[in-house]
Amino acid sequence: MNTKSTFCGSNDHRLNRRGFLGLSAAAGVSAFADMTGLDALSNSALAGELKKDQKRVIMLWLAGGSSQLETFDPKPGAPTGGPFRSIQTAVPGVHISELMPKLAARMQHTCIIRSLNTKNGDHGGAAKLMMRGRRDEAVVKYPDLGAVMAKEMGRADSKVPDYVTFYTQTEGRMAGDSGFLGSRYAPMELTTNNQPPDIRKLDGISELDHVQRADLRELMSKQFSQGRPNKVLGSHNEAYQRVRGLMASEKLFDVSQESAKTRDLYGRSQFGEQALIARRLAEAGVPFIRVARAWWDSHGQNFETHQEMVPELDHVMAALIDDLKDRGLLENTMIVTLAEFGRTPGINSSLGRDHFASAWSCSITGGGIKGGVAYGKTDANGNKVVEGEADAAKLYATIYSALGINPHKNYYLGSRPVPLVEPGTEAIKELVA
Amino acid sequence: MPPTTPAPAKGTLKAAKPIPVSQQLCGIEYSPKGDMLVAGTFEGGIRRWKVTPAELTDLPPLAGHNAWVQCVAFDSKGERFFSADSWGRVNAWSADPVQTKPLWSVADAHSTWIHAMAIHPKAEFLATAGRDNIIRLTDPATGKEIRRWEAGDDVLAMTFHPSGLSLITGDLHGLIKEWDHSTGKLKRELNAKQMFLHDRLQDVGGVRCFAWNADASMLFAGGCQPKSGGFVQGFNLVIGFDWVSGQAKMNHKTTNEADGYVLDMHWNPDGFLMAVTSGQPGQGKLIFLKPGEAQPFQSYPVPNAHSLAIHPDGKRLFVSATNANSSGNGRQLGKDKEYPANTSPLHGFEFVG
Repeated sequence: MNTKSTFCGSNDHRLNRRGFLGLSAAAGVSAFADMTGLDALSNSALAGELKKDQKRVIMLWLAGGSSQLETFDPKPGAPTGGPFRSIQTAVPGVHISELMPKLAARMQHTCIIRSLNTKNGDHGGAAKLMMRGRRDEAVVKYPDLGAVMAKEMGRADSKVPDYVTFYTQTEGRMAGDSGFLGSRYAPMELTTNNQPPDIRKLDGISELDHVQRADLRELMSKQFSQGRPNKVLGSHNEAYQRVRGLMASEKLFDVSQESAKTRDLYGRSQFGEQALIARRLAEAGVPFIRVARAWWDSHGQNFETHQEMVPELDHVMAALIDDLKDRGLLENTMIVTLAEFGRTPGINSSLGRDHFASAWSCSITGGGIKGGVAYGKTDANGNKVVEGEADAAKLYATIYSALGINPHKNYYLGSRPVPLVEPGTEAIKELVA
Repeated sequence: MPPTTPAPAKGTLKAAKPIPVSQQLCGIEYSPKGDMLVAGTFEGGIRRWKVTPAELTDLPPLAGHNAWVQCVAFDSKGERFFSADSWGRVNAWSADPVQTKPLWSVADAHSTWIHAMAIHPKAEFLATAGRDNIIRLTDPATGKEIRRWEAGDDVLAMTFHPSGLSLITGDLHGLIKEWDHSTGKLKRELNAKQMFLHDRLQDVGGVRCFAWNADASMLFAGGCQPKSGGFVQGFNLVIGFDWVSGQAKMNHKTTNEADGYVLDMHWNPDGFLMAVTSGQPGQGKLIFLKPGEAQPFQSYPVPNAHSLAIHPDGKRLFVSATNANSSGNGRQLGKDKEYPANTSPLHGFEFVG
């Protein structure tokens, strides 16, 4: 018999993504236990502080370019509309694709921007643009959102990384880039599996040895530092603390620390498990986590591809929203669902959609964004933006504003001020809570 | 110039100048009397043409569907035809060209995209299936549901055995299932798993069409052997099963990974299969294939062909295709910088001599 009760990943361990459509919207999220295993979160006061003050971003990066018509800006009945219907969301008057029933039920938490015109339909250039909000100059390499978040929201005494990116598929893989901010804000890149390499304590060293070595190093360091106030020494000690912290954070990447119920909530796909790890990291205070889900570049069989992949995205987004909300983290954790561009309204001869950056969509949830809003509008066939046009700079100004980061602030390259977003760009006020 | 190539037993196959159609078509079908050609569109409509040996004449289009109307099928008497769309609606229509209202309409026959439809040889049942993994048996006279059951997967192709005793489905994962349609019980499965691939975290491929040989001793399943997911690359694949034993007796696979899917097939009484292939953008073919032979003995380029209609006289056929220059990131935009809608030229062929 057909093994249909499957999902994804390997052939013998799949839970069919399409099957998500038939599942109940949420299997309950109230019974989650805090199993992060991090010292930081075992201290309730510190955990409370994290929840209260620090903004975090989980970016769901749809590499290859998902179709706005099969997600956030459906055009049912139009010649460009494709085979799918739209459905009413929890917000009156706002409809999204029938492939996203779970997000539809949670639309009060989410805003959709349907009016992106970013003018770049090349994978590489567009990905760089949409990860940074601006184009590099010949002599200035701009940091991406992860690096900016690491700088703005990272904590010098943090025992967790500031910027983590999962990019375990190969399509459009692009390294995170801290640009002129330097390697201090560069990401921890996971490209082969969900566990960071080389942070595990060597098996030949016992836990006691490990602690005693650290204590000895700290004792000697303190003695050496007495009477020698020095930034270099301080940085040296900070680096050791961070290394120890990172080693302690290994368990954060281990989904087996979570209950079966929680793991089922996210789905046992690679994407679902990485999203769950992203939540664990965000909860532990990691300011920015990007989870890339590739293979959206549907020049052929666009509708079969989206029929397969959008329900998985819908499921993961719903799980993240519910889980973060249940943990009191949604207010300060932003979920950005973004790609490098959208896809053509015109359906090509292989029943695919090609690259399209003139009128496409993204969504943002939580973290200071106003939910329940569908901002901007495209024409009847989705060819053009007719209301509320937004470019990459405007999108980023909005994200920064919602996160409480002044988009007009300057960084400095030597004495040269470098504004965070393109000068003259304002946030979309309607979307900032 | 259109190709002109000799085909055995039926004389010379001549290609006519393609007939422009202003919309993109899905499935096309001749009426059993050969006097009407019908086609579902991507815009929730049905196009009809009156057929004479000399020409196609437009008949009033039919409204009453939404989105993609991929399935159209006449009953054996040619008095009615049926259509199904991607929003789950099934309609029945009179074959009288004057009639434009449906005989009956069921809006929620399925909860979503109907991929496959088949009419019982004696018109006792209409079967439909799709993305909701349900097989629905309908009374063709009234539209009333007779029975429904779980198909277990996305059904992409469907046919009744010519005896009328079994319903056969082909699914995404390359399983061919024989069902007792009087009970909804599974009778057996045939293996066409070559037509499935899990790649790039996606399920791709699937059985896309069926055809029977003249005495129904062989069932042919068409699809592709996928090489990659995403922008699916794959080889044309036709597997022929001995119906009694269920053994695969024929396995025709092309060598070009850009050939794509075999999307429609018919058996020619002279002992060969006629099939159309999707291909990558700008490619696609009409092929004639004899069981047991490694390669098609005839092949005609038809860009991105997706459906094939054979006139009952066996001498004429139409292939619905897609207009040229309809793909690519940099394709030409219209005057308002919009992407022009695609069209489906109808490629006519005729055996002469």
